[in-house]
Amino acid sequence: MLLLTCPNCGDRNVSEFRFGGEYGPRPKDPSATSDAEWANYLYMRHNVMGAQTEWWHHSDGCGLWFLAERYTRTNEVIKTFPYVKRDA
Amino acid sequence: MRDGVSPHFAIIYQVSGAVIGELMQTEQDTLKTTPNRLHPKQGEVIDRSTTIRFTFDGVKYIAHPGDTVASALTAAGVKVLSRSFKYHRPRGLLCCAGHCPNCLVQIGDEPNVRACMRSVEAGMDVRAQNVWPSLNRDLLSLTQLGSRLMPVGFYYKTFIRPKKLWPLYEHTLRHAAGLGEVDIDTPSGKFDKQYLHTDVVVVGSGPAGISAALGAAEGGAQVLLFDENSALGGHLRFTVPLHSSLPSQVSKDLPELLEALSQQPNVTAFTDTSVLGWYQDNWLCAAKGARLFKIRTKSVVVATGAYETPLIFDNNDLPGVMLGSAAQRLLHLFGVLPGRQVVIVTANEDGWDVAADLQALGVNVAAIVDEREHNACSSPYRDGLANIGVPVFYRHTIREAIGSSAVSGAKIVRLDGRGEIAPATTQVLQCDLIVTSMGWTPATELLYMAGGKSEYSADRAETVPVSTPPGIYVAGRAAGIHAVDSQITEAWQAGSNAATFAGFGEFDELAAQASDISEPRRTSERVCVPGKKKRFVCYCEDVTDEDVETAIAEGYDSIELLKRYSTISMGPCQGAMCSMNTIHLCARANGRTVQETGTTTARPPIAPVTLGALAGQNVEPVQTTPIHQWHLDHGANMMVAGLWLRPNHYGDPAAEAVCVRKQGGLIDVSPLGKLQLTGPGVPKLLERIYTNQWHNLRVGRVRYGVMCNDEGVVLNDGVCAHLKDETWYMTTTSTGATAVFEWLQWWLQSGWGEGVHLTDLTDTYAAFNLAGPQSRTVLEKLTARNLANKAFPYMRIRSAKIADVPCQLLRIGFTGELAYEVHCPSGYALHVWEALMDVGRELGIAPFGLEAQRILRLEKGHIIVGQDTDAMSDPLSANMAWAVKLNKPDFLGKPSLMRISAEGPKQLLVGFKMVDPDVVPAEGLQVVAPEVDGRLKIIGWVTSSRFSPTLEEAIGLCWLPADLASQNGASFTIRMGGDLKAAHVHHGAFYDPSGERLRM
Amino acid sequence: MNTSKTPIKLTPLYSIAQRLGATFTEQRGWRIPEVYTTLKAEIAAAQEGLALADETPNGKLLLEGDQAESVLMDTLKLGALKVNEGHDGIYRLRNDLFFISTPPGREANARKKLTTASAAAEQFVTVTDITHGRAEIRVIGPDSQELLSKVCGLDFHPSAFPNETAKQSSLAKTTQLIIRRDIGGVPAFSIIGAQSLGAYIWDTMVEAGREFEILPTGRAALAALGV
Repeated sequence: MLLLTCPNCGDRNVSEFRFGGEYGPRPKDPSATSDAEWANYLYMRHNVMGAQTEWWHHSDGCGLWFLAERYTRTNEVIKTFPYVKRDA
Repeated sequence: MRDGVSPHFAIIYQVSGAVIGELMQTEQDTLKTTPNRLHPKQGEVIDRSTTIRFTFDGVKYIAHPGDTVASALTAAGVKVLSRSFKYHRPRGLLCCAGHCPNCLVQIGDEPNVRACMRSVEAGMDVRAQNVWPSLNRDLLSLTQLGSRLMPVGFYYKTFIRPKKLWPLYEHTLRHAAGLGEVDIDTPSGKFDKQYLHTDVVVVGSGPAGISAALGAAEGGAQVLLFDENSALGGHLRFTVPLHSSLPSQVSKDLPELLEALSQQPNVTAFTDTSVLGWYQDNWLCAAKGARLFKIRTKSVVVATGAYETPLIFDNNDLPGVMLGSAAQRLLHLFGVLPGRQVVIVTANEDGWDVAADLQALGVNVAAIVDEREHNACSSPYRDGLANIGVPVFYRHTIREAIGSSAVSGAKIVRLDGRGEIAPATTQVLQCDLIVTSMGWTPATELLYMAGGKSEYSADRAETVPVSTPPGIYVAGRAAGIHAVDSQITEAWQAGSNAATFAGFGEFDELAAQASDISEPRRTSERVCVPGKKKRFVCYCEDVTDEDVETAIAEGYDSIELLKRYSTISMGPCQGAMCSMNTIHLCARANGRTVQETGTTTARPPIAPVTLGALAGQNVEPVQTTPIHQWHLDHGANMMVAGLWLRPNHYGDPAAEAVCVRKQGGLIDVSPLGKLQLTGPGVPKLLERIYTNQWHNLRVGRVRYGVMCNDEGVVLNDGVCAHLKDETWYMTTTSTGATAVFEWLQWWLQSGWGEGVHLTDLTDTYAAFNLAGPQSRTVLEKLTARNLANKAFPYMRIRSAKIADVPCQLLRIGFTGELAYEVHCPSGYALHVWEALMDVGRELGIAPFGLEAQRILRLEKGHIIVGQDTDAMSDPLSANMAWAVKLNKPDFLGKPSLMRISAEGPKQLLVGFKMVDPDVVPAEGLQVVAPEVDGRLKIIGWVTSSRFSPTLEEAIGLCWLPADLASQNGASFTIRMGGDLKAAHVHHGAFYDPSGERLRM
Repeated sequence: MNTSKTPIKLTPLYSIAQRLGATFTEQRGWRIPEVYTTLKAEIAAAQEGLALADETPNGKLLLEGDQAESVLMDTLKLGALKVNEGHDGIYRLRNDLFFISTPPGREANARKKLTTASAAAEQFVTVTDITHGRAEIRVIGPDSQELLSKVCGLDFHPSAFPNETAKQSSLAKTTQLIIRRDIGGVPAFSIIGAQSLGAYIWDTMVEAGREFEILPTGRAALAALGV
């Protein structure tokens, strides 16, 4: 079983975590989005074959939502890190 | 030396062998003797001081503790243990190591047990599988007469037309083919699992495995050592490696290796434990009986040894054709003679070892048939065996095993200058045992699963590991090392490296494992001797070399396609006996090299495992409320709701509902999600996550709210109370509590968490809803708090002592009656509940369950998120538009709801009544309307329906097209089975539409 | 207003103890098992085998906030704690979250003290009493590590899980806080999780502990062991 490193708790079995999907921030001003932009945010995923940044939740542990960078082809986790708000 | 065998025994045996079929039919009660048991010898695993009895197909046999089912039966002279999968041919012991399908039996209610691995227990009821009517007279073996009609892939070709006959085909095939029978009445067994953590795992406990474990342990690592056999030692338990010369510092003596192991506190050994697979990040799975181990390790040493490779020749599946290692296991572990007169077919020194063993223990060696030249043989026994007159045929091989249900002779043949058989030189030898020692297939499944690679060495006719992933080490025969002394020295280094990788010692100092393998070749490239009869490549699925050729001719010429089409390597042996031979055949047919042909993908489980062991303990979490026992004691009919066990009713749900309307009732709603939100940022957060307004909610007030996701889909609903300055108390649906908590955690942690703390209080408070006209009277008797409508109106929260317990009271309810929700600390729950019931009982209050609540809320037209809504339902359509404020700033779902609002909802959730008041349409039924051509079209569906005991008629909620739903009283049709039932749209609550009763 | 009975606090394991025929005692308003079988057997199980005890009455507080650490350090003169480390009943679960375990009945005072300190320091720290919300089950004895390895994927070896360590993980398919709190050198682990799952966890432990002859152990034995 894959080991995932919770930035808080350390290495844990991946079964303790819930996958939260590809990282994709909510539009800054949702009311100003075009139909296409809004649909893009809701439904379109990059689904890359390579390094992907994605959300994980330590649901059976400390409750932290954090980000992981993972190679989707090999399932190798490159790094995990806590989310840091970039702007106010 | 002829140890322990009377010269007359051979004759007695032949008699008993010939009549054994009759004996089984007629003398059911006669205890079978054990003519093939040798006198005691060193190293055997049986305890001869006692005997135990068991039956095989109803006949009684004796065994010693330590015997396997197969060894005990062989001791009694039983040769046929099973019938083959497709042709029902008799099959006997082949590998005696748990790697082939030939000895699968049914023991009691357990199917597909490997008789060569399962120890005999007193009273065991062992039965042959896949036989009809009996093992020795299997009429289905006639199928092989028609085998021309059953070519490879015949399932795919023959039974596809006509399609409607497939159920018949399937039934017949299932009966004819297949393995043991599952008895569905078998009580479920006890299974469990255990997690193990270690530095180094060593798989396989032969000389290499033990040495690797010692090497790793000496480095300081904690080591777990696994072996699928009942004792440690691997092939040292049954071979005597006389032909290897060892450096003096390492012992090749098993007792000394085991002694060293027992002195090493860092090693924990597991016998009878099969490692089933390797998974990412060095996670291994292993099974020991009913227990599954999940093992996390830092590094792994694969010392899994090798499978002895069978030779493919005419009738090579006849009972009495056996691998050399199988014969040695029988002789040395169980003191059992596998036969009386043996022909050894070999291409290496191992075959000569077997010959010497058999000869020394009383077997007449009829011939050694060695495909090599005389001078290629370097066995230390060569001259000795020749001197006592054992006939040796160099440059010969076997053509055919002779016999009907067991071996009675062997046809051998000379090889010409090109290595092809010279048919004219065929001669027949009498024998009852044919032993083949043609070479080895390294057991490298774990290496492959971990991402390692091997290459085929034509010189050695074996694969050799060429790349190993970090932290994975290979040792012993799995690494292509056969000589015990090399196995021990190399494996020690592998173990030491594994410890270094695990963090014990400097990684830079990792010593290279010697890859120079200079020992003599052990494996022949000859895998198949041509002939005229059936030659089995795959014993599990009855696939012959001709089947392989046919499949390749039909175009299934890549190894992976060939596997799937022919089902080779897909049976119980999972390729242990057949994969290397198949690759050779495939390579030859395609004119390619073995390396070019490649190999099939190794996947778990490597060894057979019961589904029970994989499933584990039969437990699922159950949540109970603090007054669970009270419900049980008062006759509650409990139901599962999410993980919760909750009272559905206490006998008569309709009466409970009526009681709430007339006097009052009390329901345990403790599973409600309860979240505490604190901090200056809470109002802003609430505005973002709910669809309605929150910043203006004053302290002491409660408001209903709906949560949507950004698609505008309803996620959850509930009330939220403003407790004090910066403290809010939110409730969620019972089954959605965890989801809402995670949902809020997500938004708090991904940017909206400024000034907000979130705490889950779901379990901290029990909650009871006291509903009905008498509820205020009841509560007044238990609290000093002023409950008058003015002091404590609808949609307010107050803290109060109820029966001396500090509680929160919320004046809310789902039932449409005057109601108070009492939230008390869980430890006091029973005290508060009983106080409410004690007082309430005199006023006609009764407990009510979920069913009554469902009736009551439906009478009010309240929806249940998740029942009346689904993953497509938005609040504008789901009759909750009043709770959506599109004119407030951004909130979750707003952009989507703006778009839905602009287009107008297409479907609406609406109430309905039936024209026939006694007809209650089941939830989920379709609403239909005729099309132009008269056919019925589905236009909606029923989500909730009940017979209302208050209104005495059927009521419900359904989704309808918006134009239809918006007309109060409009008629529509519900399809109930073959009938169409008329209903009409009902706007507003069915009961007390103005909501007076809850504001009393 | 009429109240006939004095409020008594019951743990989620009360009915189980009743069925087992335990005798009960009172501890700070909680009714808890005194002895299930015999005092001697229960002490022996804890010291030499495997014992299971209901310690739900222990006070439990959560302290949340980026400044929680500084409030704790100021109020209790506490040294720095890393995540998963604990000291004197205070365990750090996250950078911004602490779990505080108090003897039964002391939680209200502790909460008051910390709330006052946070307010005085003008720090945004939330102190929540979750005593009633969590079942607390302690497994005690030399076999406790082995028992836990059957229900939880964490490594319970002392090198990976030393005394006074707190970790949240999945145990028997539920989320639990596991704190190693040895008793006089005997390994012991407190399992703290939703009270609604308490009976399930207890039953699961009894089932998994059958091979170790696990024995429910009451307050009397715990007191004798110095708890």
